[in-house]
Amino acid sequence: MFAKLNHIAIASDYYAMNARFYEALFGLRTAKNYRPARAAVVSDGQVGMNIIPRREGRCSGLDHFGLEVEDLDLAVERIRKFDPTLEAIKRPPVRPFAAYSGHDPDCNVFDLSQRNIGFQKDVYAESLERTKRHFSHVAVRTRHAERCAEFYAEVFELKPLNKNYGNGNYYLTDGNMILALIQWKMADFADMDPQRTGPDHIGFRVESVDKVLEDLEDLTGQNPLFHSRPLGYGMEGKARLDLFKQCPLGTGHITDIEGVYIDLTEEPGPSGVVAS
Amino acid sequence: MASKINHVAIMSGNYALESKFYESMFGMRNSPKARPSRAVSIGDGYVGMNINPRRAGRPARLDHFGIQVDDLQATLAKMEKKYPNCEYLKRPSSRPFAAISTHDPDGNVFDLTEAKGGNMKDVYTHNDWQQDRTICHVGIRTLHPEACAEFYMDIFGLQPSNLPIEGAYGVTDGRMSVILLPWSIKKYANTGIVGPGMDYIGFKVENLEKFKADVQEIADNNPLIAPSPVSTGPEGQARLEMLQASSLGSWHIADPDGVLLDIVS
Repeated sequence: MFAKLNHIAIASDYYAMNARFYEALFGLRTAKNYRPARAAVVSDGQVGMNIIPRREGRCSGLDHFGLEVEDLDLAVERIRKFDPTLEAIKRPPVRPFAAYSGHDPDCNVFDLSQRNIGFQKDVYAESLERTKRHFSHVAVRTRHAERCAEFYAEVFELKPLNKNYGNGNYYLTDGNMILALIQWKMADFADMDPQRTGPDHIGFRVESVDKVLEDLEDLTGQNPLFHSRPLGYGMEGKARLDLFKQCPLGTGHITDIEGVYIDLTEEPGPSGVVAS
Repeated sequence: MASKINHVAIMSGNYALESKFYESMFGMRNSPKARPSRAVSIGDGYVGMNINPRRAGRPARLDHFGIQVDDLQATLAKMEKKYPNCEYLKRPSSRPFAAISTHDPDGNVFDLTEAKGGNMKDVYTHNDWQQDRTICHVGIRTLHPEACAEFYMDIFGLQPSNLPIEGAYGVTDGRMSVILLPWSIKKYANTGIVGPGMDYIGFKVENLEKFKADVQEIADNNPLIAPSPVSTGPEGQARLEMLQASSLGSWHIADPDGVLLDIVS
């Protein structure tokens, strides 16, 4: 594949604790050569997740994803060819993953990187064994899902998933991860606060959804700071959970300690990989 | 003036603490009719600020603003006719301000309420006093600021305001303004990138030096409600310079969650 979707970023008010949550529940790992003063970076062996300390002027929550490409210059050229109004910028060199950041036609921001050209750091520069529980998908709610799907297919050669869920959304894959582009509609937010467009949730492939839920309960008992946010309480909570459950890629639904939605699936990945 | 921009909302994992910050630093007031189990609603005598507890699946941030209109049905009818792509949604009756939520042509979500609609609660039922420190504007970074400004003027009768900010379009109800700033990823070259959306809140204070002294004294007495740091390191400096170039104030701070504030004297 020309591109691998191998980076996810959360901005967090509790970045150190949230990183430990992902390590404890999903077995994600840090790099040998990590940088303790900067963002916490954890990995499933293929996809890295930066948990970034929230800075002034930033939101706390699921923030963006990133793609590692075979040829950065070609990727940037393709972005401009797809639509000359789309922009990409070089990033400061302290970043462990991003060499460039760009955005799709709906202004969903993503990072770009290239393997083996010397700037990747932390988990992105090391070979780590794949963890049993690993990332399966990242979902973005966006106003023009079809146009964005065309963008990711044309620029990054992501392939449509060989499965029709019949819900009007778009599912693209790099052979490992799935990028779900969910059509944003105001009507979806009836009975709750409307959420503007942007990253919606992440997914993990696990050996057993029930076992993860059991582990979460056990972890909360061991360390009460690891409790995830309650889902489905009250009429509005139920409406939010029902909307989350509309994603066909997962069957279990939890959050991290700050409320970032996590979808759990036991289904094999696009290449047939299972969590084991 | 038919419409008033009189609602701002923050989502926060520390919502009660955030409220103490705005009450202490700016003299915003809670309501005797407050509902303690729900969001905090505080006011400055004109604009009400909701600090909503962050829910699962939602980010913590400066989230949205709201407009009060004289006739909600007439406003929606006009919007449907002129901007059919802007969807709207009726809100649950528990909300203190919003009767309807909708969005502008760029997808910036905002709330609508009716002056005598009967749905308003908490501070919004009596937000009519005078105080020295008040919310005077919000800044929104958006892809098409000119088109959005036309939308707000056309649908809500807001007036254009002259702004000394390159590429910005301001709309005002005479007291409170929305500043629509051009969003470009290139502006974030030396700092963390934030997508389009709400960027900062502007406050007018009676005397900047007095306000600075008050902030220092309050933070000294209670460090939990001290402003969070801005301009630390080269990336913080770049973010501050970006804010300075796109706002009206002469001092820039952040609330304990990091929401940016533009202080005008």
